Amino acid sequence: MKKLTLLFTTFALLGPNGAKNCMADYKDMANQVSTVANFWIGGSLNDTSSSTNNSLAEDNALTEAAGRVGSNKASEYYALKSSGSGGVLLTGAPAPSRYHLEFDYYNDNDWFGDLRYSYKDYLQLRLLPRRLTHNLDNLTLFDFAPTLATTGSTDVRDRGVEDYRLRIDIDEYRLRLKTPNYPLHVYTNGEVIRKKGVRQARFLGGDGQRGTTGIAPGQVRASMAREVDQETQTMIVGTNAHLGPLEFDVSHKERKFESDLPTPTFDYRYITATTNTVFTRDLHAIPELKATSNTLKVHTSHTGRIFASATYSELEKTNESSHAEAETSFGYGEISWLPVAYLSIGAKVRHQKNEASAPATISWIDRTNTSRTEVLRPAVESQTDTAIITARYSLIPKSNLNLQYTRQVKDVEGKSAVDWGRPQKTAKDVYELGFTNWAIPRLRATMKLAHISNGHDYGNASASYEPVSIDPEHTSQGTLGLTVLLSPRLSLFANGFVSKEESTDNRLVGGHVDGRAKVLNQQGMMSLNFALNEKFSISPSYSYMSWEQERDIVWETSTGSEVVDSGFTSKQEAQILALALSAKPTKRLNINAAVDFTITEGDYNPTSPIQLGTLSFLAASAAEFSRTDTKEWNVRLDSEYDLGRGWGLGLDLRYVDWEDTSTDNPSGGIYYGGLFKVSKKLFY
Amino acid sequence: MKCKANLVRLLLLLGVAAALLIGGCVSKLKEAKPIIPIKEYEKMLFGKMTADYVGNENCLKGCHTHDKLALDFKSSTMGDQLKQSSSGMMVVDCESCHGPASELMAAIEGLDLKKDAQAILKAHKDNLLDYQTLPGGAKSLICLKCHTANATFNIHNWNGSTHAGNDVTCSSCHPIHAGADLIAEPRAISTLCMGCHIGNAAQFSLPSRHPVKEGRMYCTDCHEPHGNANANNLREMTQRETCGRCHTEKTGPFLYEHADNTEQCSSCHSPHGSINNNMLKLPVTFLCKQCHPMHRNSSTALGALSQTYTRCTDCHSMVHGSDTPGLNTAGGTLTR
Repeated sequence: MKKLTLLFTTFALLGPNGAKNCMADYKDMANQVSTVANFWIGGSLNDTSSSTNNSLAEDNALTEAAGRVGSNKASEYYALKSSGSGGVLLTGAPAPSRYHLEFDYYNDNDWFGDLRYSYKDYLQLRLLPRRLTHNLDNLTLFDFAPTLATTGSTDVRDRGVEDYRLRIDIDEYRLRLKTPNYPLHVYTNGEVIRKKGVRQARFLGGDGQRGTTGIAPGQVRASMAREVDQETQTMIVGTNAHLGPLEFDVSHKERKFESDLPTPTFDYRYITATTNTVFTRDLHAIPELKATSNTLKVHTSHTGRIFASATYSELEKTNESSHAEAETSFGYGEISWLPVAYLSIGAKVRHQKNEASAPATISWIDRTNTSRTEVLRPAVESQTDTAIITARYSLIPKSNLNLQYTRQVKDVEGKSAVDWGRPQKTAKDVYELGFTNWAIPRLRATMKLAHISNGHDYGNASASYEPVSIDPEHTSQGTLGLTVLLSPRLSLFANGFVSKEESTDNRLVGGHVDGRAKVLNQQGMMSLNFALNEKFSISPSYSYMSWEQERDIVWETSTGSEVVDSGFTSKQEAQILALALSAKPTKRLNINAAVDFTITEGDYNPTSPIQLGTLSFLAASAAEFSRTDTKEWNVRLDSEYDLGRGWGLGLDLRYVDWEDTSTDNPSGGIYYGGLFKVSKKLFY
Repeated sequence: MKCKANLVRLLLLLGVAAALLIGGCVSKLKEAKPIIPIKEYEKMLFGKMTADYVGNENCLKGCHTHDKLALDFKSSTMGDQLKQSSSGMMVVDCESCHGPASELMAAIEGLDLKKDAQAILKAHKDNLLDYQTLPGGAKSLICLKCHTANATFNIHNWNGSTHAGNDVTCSSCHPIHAGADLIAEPRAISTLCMGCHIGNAAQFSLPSRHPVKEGRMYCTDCHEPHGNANANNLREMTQRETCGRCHTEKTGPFLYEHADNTEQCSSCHSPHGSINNNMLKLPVTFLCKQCHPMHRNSSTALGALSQTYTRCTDCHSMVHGSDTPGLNTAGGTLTR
């Protein structure tokens, strides 16, 4: 067997001519690659100054603005701790072992590790521990019509809370074992993702009574701090091997999610014109979830003119808290054929079926302390089938013309469609034409055009849940990318994307209201890379993105009838100016710097007179309330100085200045971060 | 029942592993046979028909002796680590990928390394495989010849993948001479991807984003670059499962679902970045209003406030699904 494997691989690699000389024994090449040991020690400084821009709220005497802390948006993903730091990188390949031990500790909320060990090809072990920080939003609930006694109120219980953040651990492992001389693997992969911290909970803290003239007094929006301690454990066990023309992979996966904290409670208020009841109930219950999946993959050799692969997977998910269940079965097959080197034809099919079950009823005690029982709607059950046909034609070497047609049909099970107001059938056709050129010297071009059309069969409708769908009927998309080497020292990158959607019969609520929609999304980016000399290069870039739409939407009047607000518009824009510098002024000094400046703006505007902000009691018009207006400076400077004899100094600096002057979510702040390193590199 | 079913599955898995092991003893099954070899590519990779293999000594002793790349490659998985004497696998040497070098040796004989550098470089180009002119499929075939035989894990769907269909090759992401270990380093992956996907690079500079630019997440946390059976090369079979890797609490199943909207997270979210909070595609009020007329309206303050001036999720905070009925007599309001 050993000889046959050797013979086969020898032949496959070198062909018959090379067989006699292929087994060089390197007798006089005793040196292996050096073992590298690289240590660094230093310190990281991280600080932020949060501020809020409550000008509008203050101008309009919105009392909720007082004492507001705001979101730590400037430092959203930076751990705000100053600490001693250090790291190590050990790599070596003393045959037949290989190892790579890398760990960087910045502070106790921020680290990264990549630890690998291999023995021949029999064993591969990899551990990837990672910890990161997410500083979360701290939003204030404003009452925009405080002068009216009939408006909703707010119940802010987290005033002054500064530390909404999660510490997230993502710890992965991969272990693979292989039989000697034969590619049969047994493997296990897995990860534990743990989130711990405090976040803001915003919720309906009580409500009023729905009456014929709208909502009665007492709609209470509430906010409070909530602790988070959640863990997701995932483990995969599988085996993989090839049996001649086919390769198999069979795996089993288990996932478990649980929260270590009890469900919080809140003293809700129920207010009518005559009563003001307070009652305690739990909220934001985090369920215990379990999922199991089995996957079988089969494929042929990648070296053949014909290639085929198939995947079948089934997934079962259970909510252990409420006993809701979901099952997804998934099948995929593809075949590609290379009749000649310049032409490739392929077909892919994908099938997905979603099934669900849940207890028939649920009982609870409502706001009037009355026991209630409700019949539950099982989740939507559906089946989606996708067929894709592709062709790739190389007009000239290194130029490809790609054609692709996709047909996707989604069938929603009859009862689900009626219960949930979903179209019974949705058919999507996608036509794509792409072109890539790598052949013309100094020019690389990519182009892609796509047209997507959607059709719906709404089927039977129920009076309660009439079908709703806002899928665009027609979408046209175009992408163009260019890389031009203008001179040996100057290159240009440009990329553009335009997507236009149009609909004339969006089914809005009520099922019989046909709505129109036009959506235009654009993105453009241009970058220059200029190498002044071997020591200095500079790359300025500019990006523009916009999302614009005009859409009919529906308001429900006080009597319950629908009114179409024709031509509700929304436009958002983003512009990003960036500058990257790379300098090596001396042999010992490396400097990399980057500055990004991002500005965004936008708003939405209803056309209905009752939504135009003409009501004098409102603190802001619709346009003012919906305004998006942010600015972000993001500056990074990384430098290294080689002191000689393996010693080095490093300095990494970060500066972020964030400002959001929108009415809905004003915030601002500055983040400063610094990392100082003294490093020593050893070779053995 | 579930435990029993899982036990059956585990036994089935072990059975398959045993079958594969037994199958492995049948020597013919060890060979990864292509379905009709691609002759055009094979010819391209064969190199000069008139040349012969001369062994690595000529490359390493002559000019590349002290090159780091020679040492790195020698120490790599494909070098001494798995050489025939210990594992039965082939030693991959310079000529395995670059083609037979006897004519190169003849062409550069007597040339001076410094004085005739240009002539030596030209001789390499003329006598070895010219990678610059090889089509992407042929370049990848060099690697796939072994990595198919070796049952490499994550390339089950490589040939049908978007990358393979666009001339992205193995060496586009795994530079062969970069070191002894060819694994793409996690913290370098995003920069690597954005070298081509430059539009996505700009999206990660938008105000609401995953921390890719900050180096705390990587493209491969969500995508499988070698291709797989899933749409957009997502790591899991659906968007819900992919996002649910970290946001598991939002995946359910729940007693009260948001219809099937949460199946496609991208119905509401723009995962690469957005202007709006929580990576929403649009401001939350306008986003929800596209489908929902929401509360009954009137010309009073509350009508206006509840429809245009309130973040919907301030009240409907369990918008991804909930097991808890609302406070009213009807349950499924996703409010708590």
